[in-house]
Order: sequence, then C-alpha cells, then structure tokens
Amino acid sequence: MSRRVAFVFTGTAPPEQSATALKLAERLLARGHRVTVFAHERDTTLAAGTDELARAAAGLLRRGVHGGTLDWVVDAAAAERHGVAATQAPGVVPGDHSDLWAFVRHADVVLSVGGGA
Amino acid sequence: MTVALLVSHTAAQGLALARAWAESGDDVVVVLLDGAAAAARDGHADAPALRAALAAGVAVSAHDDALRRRGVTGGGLTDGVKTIDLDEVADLVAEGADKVVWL
Repeated sequence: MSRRVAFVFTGTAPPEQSATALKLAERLLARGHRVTVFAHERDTTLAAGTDELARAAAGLLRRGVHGGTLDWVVDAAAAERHGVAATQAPGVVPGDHSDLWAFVRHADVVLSVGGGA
Repeated sequence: MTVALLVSHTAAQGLALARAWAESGDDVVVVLLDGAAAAARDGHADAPALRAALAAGVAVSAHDDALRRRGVTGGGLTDGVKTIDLDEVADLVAEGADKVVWL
C-alpha cells in the first residue's frame, strides 16, 4: 500500500544526516510511496547548490517530480535570507508554513530531519 | 503498538527512550544511523545504554553504510545488534511500524 511520508528538513542536521534522509526518500519513492519535503532555513540550500548533497537532491527531484510522487517546498522567506530563492532546482516550489501544515496533515509518517541534533 | 525510533545523534538518549517505551509494553525497533551508529561498536561508551535497551526487549539495528564509514565491521558489533540497509529502513518507516520518530 502506498504511504505518504513527509520529510521536514529543519536546517540543523549535519550533512551526513541530510544525505541519509535524501537516500531514504529515494528508496521510498522507488517503492511507490509518495514523498513530500519541506525545507527550513539552511536546508533551503539543499536543492540550490552544486555540492554532493545538492546533486542528490536534484536527482531525487528529477525522479520524483517527473513521476508525480514528490513535492518539494522551501520556506520562501528562508530561501531569500540564504540567497538561494532564484537558484532552486527545477520542481522546487517556494512556500510557507501553510504548505508545511498541509504536508503534515496529509502524511502517514512525518520525519523531522535534524530535530534531534 | 510498534514504534520505530531512528537515532542519528545522542544514541544513549534514544536508547533510554526506547527502553522506557519497551518497558511500557510497546514493541520498539531502534535504528542507529549516522553518528549514532558508532554506539553499536563493542566497547563504545554508550554500551551500557545499548545493553539495557536490548535487555528490555528493544530490537536494535545499525545502518550498514554508517558503520562502514566508521570502520566498524560485523565482528566489532555489540552482541544482539543487527545491521540494516536503507531499503530495510524504508520498509520499516513506510509499513513496519505504527509510529516513527527520528531523533
């Protein structure tokens, strides 16, 4: 049965945990589950850079957005603060906490990435 | 209720929480990820918390890639700890637990 899993990137996770979360999201997509991502603060840069994490995020977006099973929203205000509002990978949508609430409300599982850091 | 607890930091804290849940009657699965995977190494400073969780019936697994990054091989794991790959973690998260928490 397809489940809906929401990842909330809090902006506080070390790179290793962010990478693990992106890989886990990829595995979930591969199994036919629906994945939603909401990125706060520093994690608004995840899909905007050129480093290893950004490449992983871009790959995930290509796979998920084209398959219609991934939604990726960045906190628009945070993206502005971090100077990445105009450089997000294709498929990333600027949003706000109403999007976060919608993701959480509709999710079967919510994973906070970095909350325990 | 089956609870999956993913732990990336502060393994001792996560294991103590898992132990408390197990002692309250829940089936608890702990997955040690990222930095927390080091706690699965035999002789680690968090070994007492790990052994206490295992003794309380908590199922403890450690992420194979995280162990490899830290040079921990199968023979160096605390008895009772299993290795797990991300495909298995994905199945656990999506379908194998009633509640999932990531610390």
